[in-house]
Amino acid sequence: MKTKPVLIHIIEDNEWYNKLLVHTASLNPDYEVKGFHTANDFLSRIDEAPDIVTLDYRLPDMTGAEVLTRIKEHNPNIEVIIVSEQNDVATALELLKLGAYDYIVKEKDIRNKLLHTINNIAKTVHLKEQVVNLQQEVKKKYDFSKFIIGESGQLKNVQDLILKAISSNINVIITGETGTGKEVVAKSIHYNSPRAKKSFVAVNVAAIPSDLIESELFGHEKGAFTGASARRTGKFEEANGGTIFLDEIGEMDMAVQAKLLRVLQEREISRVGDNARIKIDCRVLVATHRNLKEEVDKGRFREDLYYRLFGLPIHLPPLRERGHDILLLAKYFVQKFCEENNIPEKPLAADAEKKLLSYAFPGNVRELKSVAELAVVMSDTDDIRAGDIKLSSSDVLPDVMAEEVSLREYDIRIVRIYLKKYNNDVKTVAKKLDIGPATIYRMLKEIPGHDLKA
Amino acid sequence: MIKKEHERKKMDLRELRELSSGDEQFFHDMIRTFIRTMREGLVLMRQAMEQSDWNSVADHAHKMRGPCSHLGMEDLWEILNTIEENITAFSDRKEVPALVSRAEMEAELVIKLLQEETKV
Repeated sequence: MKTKPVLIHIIEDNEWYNKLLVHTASLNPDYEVKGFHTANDFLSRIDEAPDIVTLDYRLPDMTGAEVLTRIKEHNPNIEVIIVSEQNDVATALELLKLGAYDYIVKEKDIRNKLLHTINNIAKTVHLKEQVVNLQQEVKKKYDFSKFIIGESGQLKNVQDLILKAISSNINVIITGETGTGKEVVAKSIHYNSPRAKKSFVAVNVAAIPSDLIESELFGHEKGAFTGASARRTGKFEEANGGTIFLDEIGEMDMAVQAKLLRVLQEREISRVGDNARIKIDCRVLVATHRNLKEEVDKGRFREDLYYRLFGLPIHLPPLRERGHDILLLAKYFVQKFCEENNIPEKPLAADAEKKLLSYAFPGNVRELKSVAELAVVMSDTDDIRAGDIKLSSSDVLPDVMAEEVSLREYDIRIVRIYLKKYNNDVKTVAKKLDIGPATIYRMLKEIPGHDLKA
Repeated sequence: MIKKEHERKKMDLRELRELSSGDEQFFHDMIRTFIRTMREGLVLMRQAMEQSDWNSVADHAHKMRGPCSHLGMEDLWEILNTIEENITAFSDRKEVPALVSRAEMEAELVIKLLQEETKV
């Protein structure tokens, strides 16, 4: 992407110097330069939003300090270089305190000094521009209306909840099986919220050894423990002003839970090995594949922390419950993969769709993405066929209606499929099928070799 | 280090050539601008002196002095600097009228030299 030229305004009442400075700055074709002879001339055009202003300290209508103050009040991002006849240290210090970027004296090497300073500022301007562009790209990437794909009722409910999470600062607890997109939802909330310009910091609590989690979250001072050779900033400090996403919070050690609770209550942290308190303002989003309430009941999760974290619950349904969303997502992943790899887009053939719909996807969306991408690679034709779709055969759901059997046998087959789907959780299966658990146990006796513990 | 009068240069255009980065049009424009603004400045400085507006005299001297340093006009720079310093730093105005006259003569001399060398 071509960056826009750096806009430089030169304020200099001495015509000879004005021409010299405009000419010097214009030597770089990436700079757009305009000259002004009075402060008022310039101030009437300040809305043109220059990136850099060179300001003569002695102007006929205003002092340099006054103009500098007016510029900074209007837009603190405009960098001001003071250009003065005299090397007056006291004045230079005063102006630097007021926010001037540099103080250059009209001496023999004025050209090199000026270009050097302008080039340094221009680098910063370009970097800031890049940051803004990247922020916009990330925001576009995580625009949840395009990113959270699906039309099932369950997903519509999730989309409604994400909207509520975006429009408020409420704590959010995201639950769902592995691969359902918990981090994607967290990013979507962050990048669509007013905190989008600040950091999103994700921490997988389960992936960090328990003896390191405290320093990882809160940072540590040099010498705080063996191996702490330098001060380290923790994830909470990194996320200051933004959002911290604590994934797999259910795996957190009880001792760290107590420290996290204090951080959430007092909104300040202390680095390990340091008593100083650091104020923290970050939104906390958490996720878990566990039922946290059950963990509380079992004494594995602090009840006070549970209630402190408990805000808006967003439960992400497993892919197998999202019906035709499987096809929408598969088509999306195929299209994206084809685009990224310069491959002509390939539609899904009917037999491929049927095969996808018959699979339980224990790895959920993450697994579907891999399956879809592999299918593109495997396909030797213009479309993706059943043979191109490689699934873990043990999770393929049998086609219940494939052969004619008795109604009783159909019932047993359905129960069998549901038991497989829900890890032999009789209670859940009974609820899903709207029958009593006793009915299921009766049927199980009729299923040869079925073992609930399997 | 302050140079003695006989060591000082009347004019040296090497720095302006360097600042022009090979742009002849810009070089000549800067010479013309110098000549015009110097003549205008000298007139304004004399008018201010006749009205005993000493701060303005110092301001005009200050303004004209800057470009002289880039054109190697050490004599003219020194005279203008002395005018400014006598007024602002020493409040010594007795010598200012004579210094203004010297500045006018020196300026006409360097302008003549400039015109001869650059044909503007």
